[in-house]
Amino acid sequence: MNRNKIKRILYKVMIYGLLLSLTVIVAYPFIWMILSSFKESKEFYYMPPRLLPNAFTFVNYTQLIEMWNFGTYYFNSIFVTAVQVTANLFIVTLAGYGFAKYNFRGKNFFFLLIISCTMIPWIATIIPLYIMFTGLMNTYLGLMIPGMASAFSILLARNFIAGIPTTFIEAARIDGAGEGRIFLRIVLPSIKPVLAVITINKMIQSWNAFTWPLLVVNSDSLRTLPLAIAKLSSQYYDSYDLKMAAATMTILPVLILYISLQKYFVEGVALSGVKG
Amino acid sequence: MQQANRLAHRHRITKLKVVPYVFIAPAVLYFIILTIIPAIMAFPISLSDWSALTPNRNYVGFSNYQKLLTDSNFWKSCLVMAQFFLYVPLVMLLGLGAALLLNNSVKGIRIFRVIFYAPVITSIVAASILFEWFYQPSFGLFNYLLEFFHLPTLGWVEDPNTAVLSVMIFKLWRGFGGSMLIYLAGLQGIDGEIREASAIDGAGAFKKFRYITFPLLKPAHTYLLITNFIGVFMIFQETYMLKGRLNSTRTVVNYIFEKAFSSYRMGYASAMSFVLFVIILSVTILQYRGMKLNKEL
Repeated sequence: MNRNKIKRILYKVMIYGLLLSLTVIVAYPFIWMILSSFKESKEFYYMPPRLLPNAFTFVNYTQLIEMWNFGTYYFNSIFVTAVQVTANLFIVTLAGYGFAKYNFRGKNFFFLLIISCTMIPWIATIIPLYIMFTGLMNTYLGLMIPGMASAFSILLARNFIAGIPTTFIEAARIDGAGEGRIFLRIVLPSIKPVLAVITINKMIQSWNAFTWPLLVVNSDSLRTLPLAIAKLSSQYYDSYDLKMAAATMTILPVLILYISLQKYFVEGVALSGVKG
Repeated sequence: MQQANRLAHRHRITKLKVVPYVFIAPAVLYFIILTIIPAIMAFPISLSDWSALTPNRNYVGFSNYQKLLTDSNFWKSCLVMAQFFLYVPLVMLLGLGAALLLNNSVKGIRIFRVIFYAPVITSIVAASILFEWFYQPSFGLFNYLLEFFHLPTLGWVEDPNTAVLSVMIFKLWRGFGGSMLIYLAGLQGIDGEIREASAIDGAGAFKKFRYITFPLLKPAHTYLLITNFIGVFMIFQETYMLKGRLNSTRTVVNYIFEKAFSSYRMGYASAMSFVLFVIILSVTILQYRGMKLNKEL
């Protein structure tokens, strides 16, 4: 009996030990990033490396904003993300409702068309897209349009809207509610959790977007945060102090959002992944 | 009065016929213009000598594809990509390990889950900049740790022999949380069955895992195998940021980018991306057929 108890305690100690070491590995880069963003340049060359800064200095942040135009990049990232999230919600929920609750000619065809888009990788479309967007290089429109809708989110929206009892919708229709009103007042409120998942997915995607912006933007006034970091990295190889502040500015908001809304992040994976 | 009602009713019905098209129109138009048409256009472009530098474009047949066969840079980038396939089993193994740890009923499990998944949502570009310093040969963290344990230090990204390995370690750090969540969902789905089965024949922990848990996770294995496999074909940002010397980390996608957007050889680059597309599409179709991912579809 006693031996069993010892065994169980040892087992727990082992599990916690492994969990804690994995936590250190995962969290260390973040902690290091945040603390190092307050360091002076020379502190990056200390041997042995030190985690804590000598004195907390905000000089990296002020330098990024005053000399590096990071205020503009920040605005661009927020603006592009906001527009893309809104457009995506609009396009995706409308289509989801159309496919879930109406019967019309060509429904299967159009639905298949959209499913097939989830199977086309971006590398297959990027060169023709670049050619198509020649006239929109270095514009907000050119930057934003190709990230405005996610085909996968349409499937998600459709599957959840299909779960709303059709009798609700019929009843509202008999009461004289218009189709737009039904959509806004009945459909959208009943799929709030999915709307949250769709919003968050798109938010992260837009905020972190790099490949398309890299192609379409080369004027400084349109740069988003990831583009600015890539430029910092390629031109100022040794300025780790600035890089850490820039990385913190980019990653920290996402981490805060994630920690406060983690339920929806995890749900998003569960919804898009395998069941069982 | 009655006639007015009938008219209104008829009006209603025609409206109901139009409404769904209005609802799906933005999405359908969006995807036709921005995904379907470009995907189709890619093929004719690959049959031309399209270049952004000169205005005339000539049909050149399959010569771009022929050139591919003898382009040693292309084959080198395929080789780089092939090395990255090692990432697939590694990320699955790490994810499974983390999921098994989290599947224990110990306190604080949710906090650990939140922490382990956090790197997945970070910007690749921003996160890779952290690892730039870790990999720095003379004052970075990794070499310091190696020295601390009296191990030989490495050149990491700067040494062409270890550059791919360095990128892979970064990718594992950033990506294992994704496989972990999928495995965790799988494990939570089969726990009940396991308890029943093992209660019956009193199997040991390892046997239980080997003969019950592991096979029952098959949907998760397949899903992760295929999505990560496709992901390896598409590696771009990591190797754009953590660039090894002598093109030691230049993947096919990096090479496509160089050809298309630095030398502006759109035709040739399109041929490469079309080859990738065909490979990825076949894998995706296998996935859709092989597993009942979305039964409703």
